[in-house]
This record gives sequence, C-alpha cells and structure tokens, in this order.
Amino acid sequence: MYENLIQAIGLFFTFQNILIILAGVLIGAMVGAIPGMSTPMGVALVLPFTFTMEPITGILLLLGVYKGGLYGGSITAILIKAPGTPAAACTVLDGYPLTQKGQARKALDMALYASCFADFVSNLSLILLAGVLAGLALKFGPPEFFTLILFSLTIIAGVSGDNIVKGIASACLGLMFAVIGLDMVYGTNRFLFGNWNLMGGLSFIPVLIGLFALPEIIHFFVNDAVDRVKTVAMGGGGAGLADFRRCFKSILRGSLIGVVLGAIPGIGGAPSAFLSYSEARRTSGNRDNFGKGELEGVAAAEAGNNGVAGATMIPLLALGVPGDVITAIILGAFMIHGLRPGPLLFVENISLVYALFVGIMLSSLYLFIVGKFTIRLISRIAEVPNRILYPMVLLLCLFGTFAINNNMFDVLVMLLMGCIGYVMMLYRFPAPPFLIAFILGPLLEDNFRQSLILSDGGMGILFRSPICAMFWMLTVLSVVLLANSRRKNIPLGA
Amino acid sequence: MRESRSIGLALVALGLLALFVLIPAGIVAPSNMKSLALAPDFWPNIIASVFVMTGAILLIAPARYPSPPSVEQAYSIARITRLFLLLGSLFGVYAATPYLGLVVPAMLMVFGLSWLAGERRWKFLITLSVVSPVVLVVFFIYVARVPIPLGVFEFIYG
Repeated sequence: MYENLIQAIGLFFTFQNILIILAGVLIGAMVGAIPGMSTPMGVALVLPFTFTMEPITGILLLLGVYKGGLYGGSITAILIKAPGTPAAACTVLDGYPLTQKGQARKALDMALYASCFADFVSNLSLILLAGVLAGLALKFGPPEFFTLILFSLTIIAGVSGDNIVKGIASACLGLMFAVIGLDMVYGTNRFLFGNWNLMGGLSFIPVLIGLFALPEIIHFFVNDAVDRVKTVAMGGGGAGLADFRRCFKSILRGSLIGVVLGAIPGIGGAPSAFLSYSEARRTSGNRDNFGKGELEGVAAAEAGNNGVAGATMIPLLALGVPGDVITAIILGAFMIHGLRPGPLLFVENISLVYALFVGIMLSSLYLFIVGKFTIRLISRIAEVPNRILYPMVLLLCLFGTFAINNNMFDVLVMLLMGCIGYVMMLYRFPAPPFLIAFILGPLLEDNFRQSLILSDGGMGILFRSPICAMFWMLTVLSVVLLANSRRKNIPLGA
Repeated sequence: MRESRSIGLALVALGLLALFVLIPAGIVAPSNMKSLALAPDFWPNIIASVFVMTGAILLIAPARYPSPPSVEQAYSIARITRLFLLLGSLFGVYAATPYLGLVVPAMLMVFGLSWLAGERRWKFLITLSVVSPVVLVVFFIYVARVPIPLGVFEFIYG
C-alpha cells in the first residue's frame, strides 16, 4: 500500500497537475456563473483540450471544472437571481433576498464556506467508500454487471425529466445509437449503410457536444433571447466564524444528504440541495425567516448541492457506472486515455486512483481560494452577453469535435446530434438518459452476451445469484415507485 | 393529452420502422449462429421493442403519464427563418471545410451569428470573428498538434 501511495504522490505532484486543477476550478466557476452555460456544457467543451495531456492531468482538469461549476452557479443565483446551474436554483431562495438587503458579500461567503466544507466531506466519503465498493464488485460476473447497469439506467431514466416513459424512450434511443458499428461477437456490420466512417461506432464527444451544447444555442437563436444581465454591487460585510458556527449543523446535514444522494445514480445536485434546504428550514429556530434572506438557507442549499460532487464519483470509480452526465463525461475521458473505471482499476492502476484522490482533495482547497479571491472577476464574467458567448461556444464545439479524430465526419455527427437534441428538448425528452445509455450501451450488451455465452444461451443465468435478484428487484421497485411519484407530480431529479 | 398521444404515435412509428426496416436492412446476421440470443440483431430488436412499448404507453394511457407542454408552442416565420439561418451556417461550415479549410468558414460563421444575435459594433464584430478562430487554430496546431484543415492557408504547414 505504501509503495502505491509513494507512486501516486510521484504521479500527482508535478507542476502541471497542481496548476491544472486550479485552472479547472477557475474555468468551472466562470462557466457556472454564466447563466445559459451549464456545467456539463463546460466539461464537454474542455474535454477536447485534454487529449494531449497525461491521463491524470486531463481527468483532474475535468474534475476541477466540475467542482468549480457547482460552486459558480451560486454566484449569479445570489447576485442577480439567475442560477447558473439547476442545483443553484435553491440558493436563490435566500441568497437573492440577502443581496436585496445589501448583504450579498455575506451570502457569497457563506455559499463558499458551505460549498468547500461539503465538497471536503464528499471527497472524504469517496476515498473511504470507493475502495470498499470496488472490493465487493470484484466478485461480480457478467450477469451481475448486466443487472447493475440495467438498474442504474432505469433510475437515471426515471429521475431525469418529467416523465419516466420519455426517460426510458430516451435511454432506448441512446442504446440504439450505441449499437452502430461492428458487432462485438461476430464482427458483422450494424447500421453502417455503406458508410465506413461508422465502422468504429459513433464517437462519444460529438454525441456529447451535440446533445448538451447545441440545443441550448439553437434555442437561444430561435427565440431571440434578451441576454444582457447586470450584476449588482457586492455590498455588506463578509460572513465570519460566528456565522459559520451558527449554520454548521445545517452545513453538516446538507453535506451528508449530498453524499447519500450523490452516490445514487441519476439523482444529482438539485434534489439534494432542495432536501437539505427543506430539512434546515424544518429544524431551524429561524424557520420563519427562510425565503426572506436567511443565511442558514444559503448554507444548507449550497452544502446539499456540493455534497454530491465527490460522492457521484463513487459508483464511477468503483463500478464503472456514471451517476450523472458529468461523471459520464469523465468516464469518456478515462476511456479516451485507454483506462476503464471499475473494480479492476483498483487492482491494476491503484496509484492512479490514489493520485486522483490527492487531486480531488486539493480541489476543495482551490475552490476556497478561487471563491475568496476571484469572486469579483467571476461575477463580471456573468455579464458577457449571449450574442458573443454562443458563437464562441459554437467555435469551440467545431474545433474541439474535429480534433478528436481529425475528421469532419465527427463534426457532421455533432451537428446531427444537435438537431436531435433540440427536438428532444422541445418535446421534453431528457438528454442525460440518452447520453448515459449511449456510453453504457456497449458494456450492457457485452455483459448480456457474455452471460449468454456462459450459459449456452439460457436466460436463467441473469437470475443466478442473490446479487442479480437484488438488482432485478430494485429495478422493478424503482420503476413502480418512480411511475407513481411522477403521476403524483413529486419532483425527484434534476 | 393530445400531445402525449402524438408523441406516443411517433415513438411507435419509429420503433416499428427500426424493427421492420432498419434492423433487417442494416444488420448483417451470420448464418451459423450458436444461439438466437447471440445474434447481432437480437439486442437491437429488444431495444426497438421497448421503444415501441414506451410509445404505446403514451398512446394508450396519456392521462396516466401526462407530458408537460412542449417548450415551444408558437412558431413564427421569423423564428423559423432564424432556425434555418443558424442550421444553414453550421452545415455550411461543414460543407465548405474541404474547400476552404476550417478557419475561413468559422470566421464567417462567428461574424454572421453574432450579427444575427444582435451584435452591431462592427469593429468589435470583425476583430472577434478574426481573432477567436486564429487563437484556436494556433492552440490546436502548435500546442495540441492537431492538423486543422486550413484550405487556402495550407502553406503554413510547409
């Protein structure tokens, strides 16, 4: 173990790695602070720039953007009532009233402290739990993995968007696009229709950028949106230790809620922020002040939101199953660098895992530094008008997509995916199940067919062990519960 | 409810198209298969069947799984024109790249789209359209070592 740790420290502690996380957190905070830019969009646009980096450096950059983005969304939520990310919508409830009272600085400080603390707790949970879970997953065979992935996909399809049926349809579409290419057992063509560019299947990044960056941009241009936002002055004094102490209970509770919900595939930051906020309001002595500018409300929302950051990496690193879009992108980054997250990563590449842990812990510190010293700059960036921003984003999409394989066919795939994504957005089909199914599709099919090869074609193998039975039961249970909750309009996912 | 039904109908139609046209025409199945379940078209058939089922649920029981209203209800001529201008410029860049390279069409795209979105400061617009693609080209060619197609500027590669 000590040998691995020393190796990991050697792998991590390079000048480039230490700086790249800082750059990632800064970029993420800027992206998160711009209303109209989402964190997944930011991570997707940064991804092509990581191709030439070392695997650890590239992945740390993406993780930095992820963490910075989660925090950055709260800046505009507090200053101009425009949450930069869906999860920051909860921060608006008390953050903006505090700004109106002239206490913006205090709200921003508390958001930062709560975010950093929750992020730290979440990272700690990742370090403590991922290895244990990976150890258990080493006992999994193809049938267990098949049922696990099926369960994860069902949850993601169920909690994304407003309608579980549309979520499942979206996942099916993603699975179908994942089939394109050569068959993995017989090597015969599937949906090539004479186009040899499709032989290796559709590349992940054009699909990702097409689905998550283009629809927003198309929507902006079609609707001629008014885009000029104006930030307000950051008035008032900052939050001190006494304020932090007063809110500590809510921050700790929010962090733990974030860890639990973050580790479940598909749930994400928004439900965690709202649950943490509602628990803080229920138990607070100042509950009447919630919604009118209560500092504890900002702390609870931000702790719930940022508490998911490290925890979403648990199923990714330990099982190879991404819990949300951003971890799906990070899974893509692993794959681009020839690595496959999952239990075997802990056996074959443990020094890389430890190096990632070191980097992730450092990102909490950077989040604090970035939040404390660049907040004025970041809040100014939110003023960049969309009429300038979106053509720039399109430019990044074009060059970034081309750079994957030096091939214009990928650009065409991205544009077509953008059109599909736009239609899906218009008719409220959630895009996350599509993307995650697209990424997990080959793994799902591979495990399905490997199981059938093991059993000479008998389907009974998919129910062979208690683990399989448990995942089947959980899948059925989640479909029933999610369908019922949707009928009663109970909000679940982001 | 009507919208849920229309979406359901569209999903069923797409699923049936996949089951009866796209899969038989697009997937080559070898003749000597050990098991039907291992056939290359077995998995796509399952996916298409589930897809048809989701459409059927929306079609048969739209009230049970109501869809919120779609994002856009009203389409004006201006909106459709803007949509086509945007898509035209994007696909235009794709079509022009083999002849002009990626840089010049990208400059024109940035100029056109910023103008379409309401930017009217001409000096700023021209500077932005020229500088931003050039910065990206410099990064990708000299830092990331990606041979960006340059069209008329191909001589830069020597």
